[in-house]
Amino acid sequence: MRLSLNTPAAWLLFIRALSRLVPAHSRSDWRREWEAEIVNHWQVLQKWNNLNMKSKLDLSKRVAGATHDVATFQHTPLQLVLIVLNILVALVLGFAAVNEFLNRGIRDGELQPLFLSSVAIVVSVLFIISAVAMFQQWTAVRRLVLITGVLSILVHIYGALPPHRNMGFQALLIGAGYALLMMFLFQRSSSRQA
Amino acid sequence: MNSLSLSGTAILQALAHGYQYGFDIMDVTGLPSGTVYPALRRLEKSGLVESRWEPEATARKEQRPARKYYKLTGEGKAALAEAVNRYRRLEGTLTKKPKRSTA
Repeated sequence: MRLSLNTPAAWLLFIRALSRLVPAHSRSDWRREWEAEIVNHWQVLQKWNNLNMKSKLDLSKRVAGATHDVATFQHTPLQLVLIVLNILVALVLGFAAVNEFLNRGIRDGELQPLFLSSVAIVVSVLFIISAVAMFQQWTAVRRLVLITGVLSILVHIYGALPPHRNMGFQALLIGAGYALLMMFLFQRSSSRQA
Repeated sequence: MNSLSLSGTAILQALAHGYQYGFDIMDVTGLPSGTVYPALRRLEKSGLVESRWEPEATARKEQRPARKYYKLTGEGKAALAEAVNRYRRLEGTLTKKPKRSTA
């Protein structure tokens, strides 16, 4: 797409970029509506020989309003807190899991820590994917949060149990406790939004 | 039903007068796009407005992309009548009262 002010390409490109912030379920409709309005408006201006700096500035003002339009799709403060917490927890758990995987799993060749840390790495990745899903409001977000939460609880309880006791109390608290909290808060924020 | 805001009333009024799409509504109401589109979505969610995509064939014939058109529902017409009455009553009350001194 060539960027020139003699075509509506620049405005369309802006809308296309902005549409990434619109939740997945509304994105194509939102983008299609805005693009149609811009192109139709442009064609009317062209038809009436009215394409000048003033009309282009007016179009820019209208298109800039799309940022406010996008903002109305965004999250409640509780959802934003959950997104940030998910990423933090994923980093903390992921760091410990990778450490266990490399040291006891690969270097020492212990099978049980290798298996458990592999699953814990998957759980960390799932926490990050859940955060992205919450941010972009994927349709499968509820299922994803549930799977992440349940898997994290199972892994951390198993890891803290004797005889292996791979995980300490803090890991259990973060991994299982936060997973429970995440599922509860997500459910609460979803029901409030509905 | 929650009472309509001034911008919501203006948008419903524009739709009632045959203005059917976002940019058209902006032109006639003087409201910015950042107000019109979120309000249209809100009104649609509360059942006062419904939207439909223009048939592709119609738009293609005119060599332009299909637009999204909005129209009032029965509930929207009732809400608009109620809001207009409310603003008229308010105006009636204000015109009857003596003007407040600003000094």
